[in-house]
Amino acid sequence: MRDTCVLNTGTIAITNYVTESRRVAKLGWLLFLRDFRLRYRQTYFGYLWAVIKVLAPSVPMILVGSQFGLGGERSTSDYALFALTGLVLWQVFWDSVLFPQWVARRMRRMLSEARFPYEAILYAAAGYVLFNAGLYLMLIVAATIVLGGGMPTTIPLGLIAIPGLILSGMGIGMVFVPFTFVYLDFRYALPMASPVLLWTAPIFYESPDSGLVHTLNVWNPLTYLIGIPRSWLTEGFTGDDMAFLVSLVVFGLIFLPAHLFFRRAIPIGVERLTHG
Amino acid sequence: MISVKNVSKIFCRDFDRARSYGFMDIIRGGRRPGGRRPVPRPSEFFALQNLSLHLPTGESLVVFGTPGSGKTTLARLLCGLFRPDIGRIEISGRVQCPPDGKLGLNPYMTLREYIELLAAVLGVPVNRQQAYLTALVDQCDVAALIDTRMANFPRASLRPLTMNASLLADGDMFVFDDAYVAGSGAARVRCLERVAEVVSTRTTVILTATPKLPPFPIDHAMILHEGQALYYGYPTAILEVFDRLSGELNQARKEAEDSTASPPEPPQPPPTAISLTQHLSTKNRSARAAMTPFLADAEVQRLASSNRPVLVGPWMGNPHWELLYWRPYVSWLLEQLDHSQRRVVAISHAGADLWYGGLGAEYVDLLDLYDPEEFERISEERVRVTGMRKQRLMSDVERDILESVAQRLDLGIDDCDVIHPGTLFRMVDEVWRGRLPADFVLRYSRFAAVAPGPPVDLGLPPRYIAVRFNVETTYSGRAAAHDYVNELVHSLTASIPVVVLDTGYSVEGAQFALEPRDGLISLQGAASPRRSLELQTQVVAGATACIGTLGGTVPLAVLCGVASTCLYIEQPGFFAAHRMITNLMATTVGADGLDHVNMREVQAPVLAARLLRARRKPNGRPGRTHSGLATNG
Repeated sequence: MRDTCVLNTGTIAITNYVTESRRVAKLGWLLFLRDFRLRYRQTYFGYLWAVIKVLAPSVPMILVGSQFGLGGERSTSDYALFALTGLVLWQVFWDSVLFPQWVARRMRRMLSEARFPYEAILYAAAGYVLFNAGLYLMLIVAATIVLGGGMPTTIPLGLIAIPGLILSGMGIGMVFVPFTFVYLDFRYALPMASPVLLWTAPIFYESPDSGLVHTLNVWNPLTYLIGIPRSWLTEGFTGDDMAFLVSLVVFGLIFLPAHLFFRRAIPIGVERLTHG
Repeated sequence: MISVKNVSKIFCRDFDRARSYGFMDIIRGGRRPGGRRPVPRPSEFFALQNLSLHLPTGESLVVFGTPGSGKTTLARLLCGLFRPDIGRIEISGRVQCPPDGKLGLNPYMTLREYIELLAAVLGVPVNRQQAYLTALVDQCDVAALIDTRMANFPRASLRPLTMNASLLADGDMFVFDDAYVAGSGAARVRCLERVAEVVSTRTTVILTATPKLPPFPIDHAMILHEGQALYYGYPTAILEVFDRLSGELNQARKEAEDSTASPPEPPQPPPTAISLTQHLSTKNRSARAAMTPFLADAEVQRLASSNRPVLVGPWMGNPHWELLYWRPYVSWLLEQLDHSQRRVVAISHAGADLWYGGLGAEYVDLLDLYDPEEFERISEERVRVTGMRKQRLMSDVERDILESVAQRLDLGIDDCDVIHPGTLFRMVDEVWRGRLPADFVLRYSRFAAVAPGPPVDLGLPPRYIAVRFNVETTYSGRAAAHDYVNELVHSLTASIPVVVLDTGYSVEGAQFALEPRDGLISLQGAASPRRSLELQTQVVAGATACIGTLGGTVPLAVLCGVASTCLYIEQPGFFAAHRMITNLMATTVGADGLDHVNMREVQAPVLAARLLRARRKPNGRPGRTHSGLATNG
């Protein structure tokens, strides 16, 4: 006998699956709205905080980076656009890692009182990530205009790449969700990990031709996941564009088991919210 | 349909440990240490233990339980909020469990937004959400507040809002943990009407600590106590039992509080949480014993309330306990019912056909459904899954057996009433543990002699003694008993043939190995396992005398009217109870010549000599003694 709980037994027809997915997506959207309103209505600067969050660490980094020639042979304005776009895409990825556990923590009371599809947590987190991504893209557009950047024909490809970036981040992020109901260590540790991981990919510096950092950059899938869409948005094709798809496949391979783990482990975390 | 099969749920009392265990369980992907039979780790306890229930589609169940009995845990398991640590829960359809009044509430939302959120959380399809919103505001009479921020929404209306939100949502099954109605005035009446409609049309479980039935018809009731199902049955009968139980527990708490309030006297230890727990535990035991008489009566009420076919069993244990306890209990139950118009099917094994012949019941032998090895395997599986050798609770295995039997008889399991040995065991447990007198069993037993059927030529000598010496698991002196019975058989075979009732069917219980010798006749291979008991009944009925152990052949010999000697070596409480009940059975059926002999007090050759002397007496039977010594003049 298996130790299990079977609810809503029976196979699900495709039409039901579509209906159910729609319902879960709407639930995620409503949960996002519920939290979003509370989050920004309690601040004076409102949505500006989302922009400040990415600008505040970026500006000094770009200023210092341009002084140290981290952009290689790029001009100061080209480097500023290069670094800002990279940091914005990094932030989209990192938001996708952080928000699922952040949203889940905010929803813990609901989770302990009502049974609803746990994927709604991911949809709500995606709402936050997409909202922030929208603001970030507006920031890139503004920076491109101010800094006189070019408008390559590959911009649509860069935009299409963003959902892939988000799913890749969520694949990592959903692993941490169940743990956030038990210990807060991941909640504290993940923001600290961001600056460390940021250095492992050539996001605001040009990758060196050799050495330890070069090796690290070459083997880090984030190099391609962020670097290639950045080129598509600001400079055009890189000649190494297929590497983006390869890195997407790598993250896709993480996503599937991560999702299975998420579905299996969330109920255990939820139980610990209400009972020892 | 709800099917809860042998479900256990383990929680932890220690907050820090709970988080540590949770962390490890997440890493293990939900698998607890211990595999399929996890045991509580330090500071953990069973919040629910080995719970089984089956509720057909559209029927309702009320679960009574005092605070801390496991009701909320059960509710959360049924809602899918918790997963069982052991066992299986199957539920077909969407489950609604009316939530607390603040589910997902954000004071910045308007009522409209909040209802949209509730609709999404409660699973209302997207295309029905507008109609749902309209129906809910009408039901709760809050249409005027639809654009009000929830911060300004009347607090008293929150609970009725979420309760009605759940009641109006699409659900195949509803679980009400404690409250099933909310609001006041006309809104409360509307809510109650909706609940009554839900109960009459959907599968419903109501869990409550109040000893009061809801104001609408309920099909079944159950008492949950200390995480275990104390009893299933007919609601009004159960209510009386629960009322008594909660009264006892309240009294115990009051006594404990009183003792805490008064200053402790010097010889008494100061009242502590432990002493309170012990006190309650003692009271729980006495409450259990006090309510035991209701169990059988409640079972009669449950059975009398329908006219459906009755499946009796399946009996899967030792056939000799079947004769001592189960057959008399079934006989009593059927006597209470007018079952002449009902189909009654007894389910047992190894050829107990003759034993049920006089009860007006059809008989299905499990060895017609399974081969002996397969039956032995599923019997062991039952013991492994339930953790109990006795059939105290209906297991998954037994449910499958009942379904197979029902199919074989062209019946649906849900269209039958079942008399399961669980109720019997819950009653006799109290006797075995000394909380109720042995004659309590007599109230719920009807002993009747066993007719051996037409004489069959078995090729046995005209005079012989039948023996069967079961190895009881509780014997502490097995080696001594083994030597004793061999010495006894050795002494007897010098004068009279001895037939060993060893047909080789293992489920009847292991026997002491007897050394082969002249005059010792074995029944090995004389009958298939399917005919084992039939053969043994005929052999015992034709014997001059019978010697055995309890759990061996003694009850059969008594019911066949054959003089018998029951050997024992230990006297733990339940063995004493078995002996007393065997004596009462013998008295009731008018069988004399039942002796109980302590192997430590009477040497085997002496006993053999006495038995042989008694055999030579005109009536051929030894005199009866209660002292443990065969005194025969």
